[in-house]
Formats: sequence, C-alpha cells, structure tokens
Amino acid sequence: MAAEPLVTQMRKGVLDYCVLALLHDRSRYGFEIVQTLAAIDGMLTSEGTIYPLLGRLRRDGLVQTEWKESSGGPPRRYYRATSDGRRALRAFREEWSTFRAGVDRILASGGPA
Amino acid sequence: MTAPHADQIIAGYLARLEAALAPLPSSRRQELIDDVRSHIAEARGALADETDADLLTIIERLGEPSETAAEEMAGTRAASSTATTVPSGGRQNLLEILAIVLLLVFWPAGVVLLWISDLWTTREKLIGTLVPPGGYLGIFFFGPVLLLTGGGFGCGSWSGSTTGPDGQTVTTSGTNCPPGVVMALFGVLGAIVVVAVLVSPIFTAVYLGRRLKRRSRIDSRRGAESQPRLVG
Repeated sequence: MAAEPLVTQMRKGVLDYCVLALLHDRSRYGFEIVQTLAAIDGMLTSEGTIYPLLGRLRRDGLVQTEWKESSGGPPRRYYRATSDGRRALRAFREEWSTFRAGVDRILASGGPA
Repeated sequence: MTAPHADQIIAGYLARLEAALAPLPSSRRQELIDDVRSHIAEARGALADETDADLLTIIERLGEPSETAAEEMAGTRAASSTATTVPSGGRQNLLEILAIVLLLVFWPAGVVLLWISDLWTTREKLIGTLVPPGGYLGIFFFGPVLLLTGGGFGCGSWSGSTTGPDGQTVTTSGTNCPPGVVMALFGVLGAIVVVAVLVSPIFTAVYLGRRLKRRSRIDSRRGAESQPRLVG
C-alpha cells in the first residue's frame, strides 16, 4: 500500500493509452472496460475515475460512442477508438518502447554506459 | 434478491458525487452521474445474491467521489478553450431535435438525420423509421391509396334480370350490405385505426424525445463529427 502513490503517478500518463488500446479493435461498454482494467494489478484503483477519462477521450475525438441494446438491461453506451485515437495510440507505442528501454537501462546499470 | 439497504447506499453515494461535481455544468454533471449509476447497475447485475456488504464493496471500488470529481475537473480545464465556445444548453442536440421535427413534417430528411445521430440505439432508430413508415408523408400519400384498393368492404346494390323458362323476364334486385351492426363495428374499428395511424408519428416523436432527453449529451456528437483537438 505504501507504493500506491507511486503507482498512481506512473499510471497517470499511460492509462488513457491503455484504454485506447482496449478500444482499438472492438467497442466495449464502460463497465466492461473497468472490469478489464481492474483485473490488472495497479491499473485502476478508483473505478469511478474511468468515466471522466472516457468523457475526456470522447471530447478530444479519440473515441466515439454508440448506444446499443443489451439483453435484458437498459441500453449500454459503447466506446470505440476513432482513427485519431488509433493514431495517438500508435505514436504512444513508439514513445513507450523507447522510454521503457531507457528506464530499464538506467535501472539495470545505473546510467548509460 | 435486493440488499436491504441498497437504495440508501446507492442514493447516498450518488448524492455525494453530485455534491462533489457541483462546479460543473449540469449536463456534464448529469452525464457522469448516469455513467456511475449504470456502472452500479451492471455490477449488481453480476451478483447472484447481493448483500449490503456487496453494495458497499461496489461503492468502495468506485472510490471517493472527490477523486472522480477531481478527474472530471481536470478534463474540464484541458478542454476549457472549446468548452467556452459551446454554450451549455440545448444547442448540442440540434441534430436530434431537427431529426424529430423532420420525421413529422418531412420524413425522408428526418430519417437521414435519425440514422446519423449516435444518441439512439438501432432499435429506437427502427421504431423512428417504421412507426409509421413514411411519417405523415407516408400516411397522406399511401393512406388514400390503401383505402381505395382495400375498399372491398363497401356495399352496393345490385340488380339483374333473367329469362324464366316460360319466356317471362324475371327481375331481381337487392343490396349486398352486411347487417347494420356489422357495418357499425367496421365503422368504429376503421375510425380507431385511422386515429391510431394519425397519432402514431406523434407517439414516435415523443418516444424518441424521451430517450434523447435521458441521454442527451454535450459531447457524443462532437466526437462523432471527429473534430480532433488533441492528439498524443
């Protein structure tokens, strides 16, 4: 638990892109996104915060929404990445692998050789 | 089975969330509250037999309302440059409102807008399209045609003459009208059908309007029009 603020800080920059990745190939509804993220340790501590995030992605044109009937329950709002969203994700992937490699190198050796 | 204090627990949480979101415009606040409310409904739906403890777990996992509110406000600041150019009010649903009006007065254009919008489900769009097909245009164009071709129920009189075996002409005449009671019944049924058909577009419009009101949102259309403002 002591490490939580650290994880929170690290998550801040990447959660948007994790959500975009989930919505890259198919649409999902809010609760489904929450469940998927919650199953991964440290990705989502306060599930309620995912909804402001989804709203922001939509306002920024990175995801689009669609209402679909659900079996039994009320209609669900489904989210899906737009072409802008997929482009943003692609850019992030490249940055991320460079960044991760850099951090790993520093952590392993104490600095660039 | 519903947990004994389910309603109180949920209402209490949503009230705290609403209070935390007080600085936001009401449409934005309501949207987030709707999202959280359906989240709770989905989470409850996944339980076989809920207890108060289950509900408290759902609430706890959602996190502090202040945390959710802070996340939402952060989004506001980032988007404030565009948020100020769009006044908060009914303007955002112009397309949907126009769709409903056009469904009544000029159905073909109304249907196009109906299907463009992303605020209705496919089922709702089908109802909007097919009840009645063509809207008032359809009723006034095809209604009379149907009445004329389907007018077999009308009654008329007939007369004829045959030549009898003895060479005399026998004239017979009469009407093929059904008995008066049946006619009256047809009349009443016909009137009901006509009224139902005439009123159905209004019902459809009201139905679509109510669904829209429930989920009318500032943002989804802007997202659909894909006006990118932030990438990366």
